[in-house]
Amino acid sequence: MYQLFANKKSQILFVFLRLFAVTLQRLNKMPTGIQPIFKLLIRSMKRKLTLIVVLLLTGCAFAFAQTTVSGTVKDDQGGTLPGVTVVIKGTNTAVATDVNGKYSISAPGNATLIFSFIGLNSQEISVNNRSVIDVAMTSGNKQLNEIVVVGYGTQKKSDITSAIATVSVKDVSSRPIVSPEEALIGKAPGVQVSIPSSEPGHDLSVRVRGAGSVNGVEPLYVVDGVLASDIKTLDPNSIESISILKDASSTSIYGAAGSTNGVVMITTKQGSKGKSAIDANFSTGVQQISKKIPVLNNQQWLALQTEIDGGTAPVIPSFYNLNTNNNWQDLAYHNAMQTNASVGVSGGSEKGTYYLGLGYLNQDGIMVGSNFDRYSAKFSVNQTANKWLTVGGNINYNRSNQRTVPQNASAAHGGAVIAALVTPEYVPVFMPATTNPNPGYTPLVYGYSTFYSGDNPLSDIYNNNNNTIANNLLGDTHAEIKLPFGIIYRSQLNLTMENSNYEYFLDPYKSLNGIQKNGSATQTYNETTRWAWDNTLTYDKTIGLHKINVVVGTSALNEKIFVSSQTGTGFGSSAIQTLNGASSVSAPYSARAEWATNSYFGRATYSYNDKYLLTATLRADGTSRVGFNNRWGTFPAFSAGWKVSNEDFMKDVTWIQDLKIRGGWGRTGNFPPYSLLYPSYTPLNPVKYPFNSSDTSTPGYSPGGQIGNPDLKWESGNSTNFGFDAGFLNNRITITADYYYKKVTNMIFPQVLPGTTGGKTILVNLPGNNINKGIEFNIDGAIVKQHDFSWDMSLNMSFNNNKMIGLDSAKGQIYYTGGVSLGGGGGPTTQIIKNGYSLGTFWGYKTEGVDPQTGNEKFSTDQTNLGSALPKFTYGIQENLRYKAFSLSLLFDGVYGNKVYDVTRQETEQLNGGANETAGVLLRWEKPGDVTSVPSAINSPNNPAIAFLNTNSTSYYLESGSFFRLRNATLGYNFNPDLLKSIGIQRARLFVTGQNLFMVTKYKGYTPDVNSYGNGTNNKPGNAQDGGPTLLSLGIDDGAYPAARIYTIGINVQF
Amino acid sequence: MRNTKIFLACAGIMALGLSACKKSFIDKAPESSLTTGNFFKTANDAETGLIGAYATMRNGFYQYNNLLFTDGRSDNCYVNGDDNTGEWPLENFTYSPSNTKVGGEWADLYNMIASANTVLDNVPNITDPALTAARKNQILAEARFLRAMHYYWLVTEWGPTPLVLTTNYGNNYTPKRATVAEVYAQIIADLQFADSNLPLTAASNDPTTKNQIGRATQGAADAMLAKTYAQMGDYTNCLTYCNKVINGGQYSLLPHFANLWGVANKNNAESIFEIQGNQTGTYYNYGAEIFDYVSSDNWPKRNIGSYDLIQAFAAEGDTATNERYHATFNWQVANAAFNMPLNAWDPAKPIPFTNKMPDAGGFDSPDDIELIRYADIILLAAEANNELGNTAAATTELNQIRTRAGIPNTTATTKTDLALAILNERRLELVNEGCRWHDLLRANANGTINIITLMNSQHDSNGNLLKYGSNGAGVDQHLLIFPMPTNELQLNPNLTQNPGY
Repeated sequence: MYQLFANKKSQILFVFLRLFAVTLQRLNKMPTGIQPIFKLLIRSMKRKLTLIVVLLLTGCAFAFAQTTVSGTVKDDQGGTLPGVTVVIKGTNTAVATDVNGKYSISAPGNATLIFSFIGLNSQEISVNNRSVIDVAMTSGNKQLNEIVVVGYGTQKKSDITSAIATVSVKDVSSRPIVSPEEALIGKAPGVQVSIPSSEPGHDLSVRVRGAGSVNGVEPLYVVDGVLASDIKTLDPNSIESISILKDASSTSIYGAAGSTNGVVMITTKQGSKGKSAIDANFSTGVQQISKKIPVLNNQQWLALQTEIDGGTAPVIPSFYNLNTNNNWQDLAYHNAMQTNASVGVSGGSEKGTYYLGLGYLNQDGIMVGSNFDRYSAKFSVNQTANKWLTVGGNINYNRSNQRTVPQNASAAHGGAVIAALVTPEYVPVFMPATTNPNPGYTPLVYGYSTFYSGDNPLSDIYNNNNNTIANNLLGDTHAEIKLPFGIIYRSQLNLTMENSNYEYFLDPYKSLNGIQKNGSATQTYNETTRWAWDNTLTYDKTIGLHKINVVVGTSALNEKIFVSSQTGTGFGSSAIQTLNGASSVSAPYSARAEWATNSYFGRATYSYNDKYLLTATLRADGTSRVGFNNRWGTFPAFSAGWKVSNEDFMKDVTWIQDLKIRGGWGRTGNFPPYSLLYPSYTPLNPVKYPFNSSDTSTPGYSPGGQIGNPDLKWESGNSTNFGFDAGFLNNRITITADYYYKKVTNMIFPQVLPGTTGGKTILVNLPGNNINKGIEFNIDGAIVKQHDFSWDMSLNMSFNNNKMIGLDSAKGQIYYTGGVSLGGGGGPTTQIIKNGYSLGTFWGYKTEGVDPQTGNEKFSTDQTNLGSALPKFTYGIQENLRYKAFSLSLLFDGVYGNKVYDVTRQETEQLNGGANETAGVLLRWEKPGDVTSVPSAINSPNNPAIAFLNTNSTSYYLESGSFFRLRNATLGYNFNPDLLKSIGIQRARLFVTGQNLFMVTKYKGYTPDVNSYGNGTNNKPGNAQDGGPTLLSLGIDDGAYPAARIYTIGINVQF
Repeated sequence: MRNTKIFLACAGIMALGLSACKKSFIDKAPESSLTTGNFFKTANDAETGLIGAYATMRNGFYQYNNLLFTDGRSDNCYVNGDDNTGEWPLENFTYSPSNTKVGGEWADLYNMIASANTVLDNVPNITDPALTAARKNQILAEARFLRAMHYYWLVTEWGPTPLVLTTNYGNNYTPKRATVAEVYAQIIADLQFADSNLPLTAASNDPTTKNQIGRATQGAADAMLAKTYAQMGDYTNCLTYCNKVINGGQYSLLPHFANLWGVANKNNAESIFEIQGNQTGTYYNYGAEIFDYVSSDNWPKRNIGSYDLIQAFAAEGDTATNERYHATFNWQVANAAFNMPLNAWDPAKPIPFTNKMPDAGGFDSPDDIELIRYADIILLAAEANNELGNTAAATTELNQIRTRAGIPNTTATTKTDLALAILNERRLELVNEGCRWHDLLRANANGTINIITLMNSQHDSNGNLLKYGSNGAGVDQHLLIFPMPTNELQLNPNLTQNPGY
């Protein structure tokens, strides 16, 4: 606290608290009774704090004699720089430059001043008894002097010899980003982020350099050195930097931990020495559905139904009113609020630093009934205990509440997204109370149609209560000890804890489904606890022109998983929604699982004369997750770089400033999937047998469906990377480009064994390879760089080609994935993993148009390759414009060449009657001679061509997934620091943002950037004990939650 | 000096970090699922593992599919059913290698064999002193009995089939087929081991003696030996084991045929081996529901008695006495949309539903399922005696069964006539007990009848010839055994197809 007052921050605290109170008051959910209490609290705090501050300030003024140093700070263009922090080294005393770049500070004559400003090089200048010190800050080579976080250490960007992308996250708080992965969208070459579902709180999908495994393509996340399976623990506002390790020469130090899909390194915010600050961010906005799909009105539905019934108009029961025109999309989607508030308090002395962050997010979904809120807290501390010991730690915690609505399912299975399209407009929200007794009629429940099975979307949404409460903790404590010979020993103990409690309740009275089941409730609890202990020794030495850095270490990691689930039915009332209200409880389940890894690793980097760079890495992993005959594996990597621009012969070349050529090779691994954590063992299933026909059965065990494979190895990826980094025109243009070839061997597949084993499956390493190769580049350009006006632009583009080779398809090594569920039952599988084809290949019958004579769709005789869900290339464009205090940033992103299987359309253009259909069917064939792309509906229940279309995977429902979108547009205004100073604010920025403002696409559904299979697989801790692995399924839109257009206004304030 | 201390301290900590890396740290065994790795250590494990081998028998094969394969396929019953891709071809002799029943039940049987093999692989290695050598041998004998019974079905239905005798596959998951003789030899070896190590009866229900009713017994092993030798054409050995069962004094014919069936009559004096179901617990047999007439069920029931079978009952006088006939059939008007193949019965009139598991109740039937019955063995003894020239003994044994059924003694006197009479008696006595197809194969082999002629002369209730075989081409030799499943041929390159498919 002392620090805060000494730096005259007390008033600021009040402003912050007030802002926070106002924020909280605005959140409509806050009970009004709390507001007066809050006010009272602030008032009493204010009085006490003022008194303390006055006392302290008086005390400080008389404590020691000082000389006053003053001056002006300018940037490299000669303009004055406001807001530059000036700190007396080794103390907590700091000031900031004013609007004219002037500062004044009392400092001892022998002190050293540190000048720092975000984005510019810091400078340390000795006072030497001077009273005036003017400073010119430089930004030269800032990018290449950047420090990049790599595995178990950091490196100067200019010394890196592998493929690492860094993503600037300083705009995270200046736009309403709700999940950390979102910060990566469109930002880095070779990194594709897609949004499987736009439901609030849903996971995003990140793919680094294509699809590196058939069992999952998500990268490994490392947060402050802690290996994490995902990053939902983090409030994006607490992130300081993100770097993405893309090639094996950078990722192999993580060995078998899943890194053939790359590693995303996240560093969270820390305090800085001698500088304390309070950052507060607040934004609020409205989200709306970005597109609605036109559906048939009642008359159009009647006309269609009449055609389907062979010309006979359907008899509409009297309890429906054809003048009812419920537009279900209007009823199911609304303009939804989104509020995001965060505050970070940071500071530090020469002895240590701290950061404390709090975050709050409340996001209503555009579909009514969906909501996500998250409370997060972050705390970091670093303390120098004495000359040789430094200790510190981080804690990231959040708690979230999510209410989901059923999606990714047909209307008959309660999918609300499809129900909003197929519920006829005449269906009422609730069935009317009074009507003639009629068989098959149930009054007062949510409206249903007697023409098809499935409730209206509001029933799916409100009658099914799906709530998940999750707690996530990710943290570490570490100690660094300086040993002789410049060796640094670091020991870090990591902990992640995730639990979630899912509760489902189906009201017993309000829907046909509920009445039939007498209500139902499910409770599922998941807990994952993981600890890891890393110990490293680091040696860093420069001898003449030789620079050596060596890291060696060990790591031990253990994860425990607990899952329990139970279901009950028979509820007499909806007043009790927990399982103790159920009259019968069935299928209780609980299971524990555990896995562990032990690792030894080392990395040596050597550079000579800052021209020739070499890096070598070796990791050995032993793990319980592979077969016990293959416990250990080694993962080597080498890379080299040549800084051509540092050669003598380049001295006279003026147009190029930096040129570095890099190349490397390495090996990484993937663990077998989570769904089978003990692959060596043949599980036994619990069974019973009632000897003597006894009423008490004798329990026993018989072999389960899986046979253990003690020889199972990890998937192993060998990757080669070549690239260069170049800076031109005083580094106003920088280019990074890479070529890679990534070959994954020992791919893990579930193999169905002959029936002579009892029809079991086994996880095997199949011969063959999954190959990703591609080119990616990034160009940054400072197009205009003037004092009042600047324009930066950045473009990245990545081409990736994926192919499976060496699979023996003749031996039945063909895997069907992407099974969809149509109507009330099963559906076709849409994808295939087969030799010679890319992962995500859609497989089915090619449609050859509608026969103008019969109105029937024609198909190819055989199933064939219909295209892939993996794009040919992806790209992102970022534009940053600044004029005086205004700034505008635009982020475009796009993908090209991928296909999406539109199951939603297969559901909504069935031409099969009963349900409503989308307006596409208005183009249907009606009489001989009609030339159209939509087949005939006439007498369709008896038409095999329609049945074929509705039960097979065909190109009829396959659409282009290419899109180009304006992901984000932010207009910001920086307030004049002079004006802010009087109220104790250093910096304030107001912004308005629009997200998803437009999308150019041919896709007929809501948005092509979706996948009803989420991340593509279920390879997550929650799927431990599931049994078999789930192979990759991509690009399938089976009633996925639509994307929102979001308008936000927000403010960032720094005190 | 101080630095040195620090260095040593750190080295110590590093060492500690490394010591965590000893093998056990990464040697995790499942906590919530038993596996072959952490199970089969104690005497109790041996017992519960054996339960698994019994419990897997409550699958689709022994509950009803075996009856489709034998009584349904033969002249006894129309398979019927709503599974027109899997089950109808069994009736119509149009099964192909991709038939789902042919493939599914093959895997079912091997799954049961894998359960038995799991016991046979692991129990010998248990060193727990609580497991006595005698009990260990009994456990192995029970498992070998079960395995032999499963192979009996495989070899009779599919012919030469792979012999899988262990779950330690040694990465060899694609076995070659063994010859029929090799399979029979293995069945005999298993059953003889069972015969010499099993207790005579399982009369008690004392869990401590592990001698509960429902377990394999010496009697069951003898009965299976008799059935197996008969199928091999070795009537001498068949008779030996029939007589061992008959003279052992453990079994007797019940006075009334009707008393054999239903929950009140489980594990009766005539029962040699039956799948257990319980009355109020959770382990019901669902097979009964597949066959029994239940007025609320709106799906076709399997194994409706054939027109030919009803005629056979009438010819022997069964319909008049109604003792056996009534317990065998339940004549009802079908309350379901029927897929009767070729309209073999008029669905608007009463048709003969199976009545031998009379307590169906929504797939929760507490009925047991009879697998081997004393009457089967008596008739088998009659058959063997007749084939071996002991006409008098054969006649006596045949008449034992006829008397109990309430019909007069046989009029057959010659060996040939008697063979036909015994075959016919087996037909009427053992309807829907999984015997008929095997009886016909035996009778075909020993020249009593021609199975192909027989099957090609089946009629519907209007007297119209049923056109079996692909495109009505009729039944021929290759259809007498099932094809190897397509799926298996794809997964196992060492497997060859039966001729004709």
